[in-house]
Amino acid sequence: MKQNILFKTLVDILFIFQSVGIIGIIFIMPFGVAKINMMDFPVEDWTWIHWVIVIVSLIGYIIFVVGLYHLRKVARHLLSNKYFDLKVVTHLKKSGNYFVASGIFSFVVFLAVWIVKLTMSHISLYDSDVMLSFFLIMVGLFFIIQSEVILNAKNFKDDSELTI
Amino acid sequence: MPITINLDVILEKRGMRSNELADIIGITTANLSILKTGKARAIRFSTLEAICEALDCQPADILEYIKD
Repeated sequence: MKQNILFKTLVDILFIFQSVGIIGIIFIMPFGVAKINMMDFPVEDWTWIHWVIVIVSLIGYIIFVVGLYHLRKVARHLLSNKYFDLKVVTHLKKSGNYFVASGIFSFVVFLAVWIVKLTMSHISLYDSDVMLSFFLIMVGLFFIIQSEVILNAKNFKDDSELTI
Repeated sequence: MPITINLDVILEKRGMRSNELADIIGITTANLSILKTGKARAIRFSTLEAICEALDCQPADILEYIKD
């Protein structure tokens, strides 16, 4: 039970911070309050590829927050001990799908940044960002598999309850 | 489901009430109701044996296969 409370609290905190982050990016950045710099490259000199990277990053970020939103829903059900509810299955699967999509988006961003670095003669063979993408995809896939497991468990539970 | 439960018919023939049967075979009236209404997904051999013993009947008297 304590783990459920801790899980819900952490997911809530992460969701709130990330939501504030998105609001910040969408509403504050266009007014020039914050400075956008990519690889120490001023925003005035950006080409179309830099803007594509920013837009893809933003989409990936939004997808990640939507995934967190569904994880919050899962945490809420787990907190009320509804482990084998269909809503847990649905939201966990959705969360997994969004995390996988977010991971793919961040991997695309990583590749694009790597290509841009290559054209600017800043070659780097290894970047820790790519590990984060892989981890996100792994977590997403695990959530999808786990949702299938919970669905099977729910069916077994229903069978058991309706066996007289 | 093509399997139907004729427990009501046998109970009426024996002049026994559902709660009496539930008490004899040791299951709740709610579970017996699930069985009678055909909502049950499975029945244990032990339950079937207890019902047959209590109602002095054969499993075929309770369960019937009707093709859809």
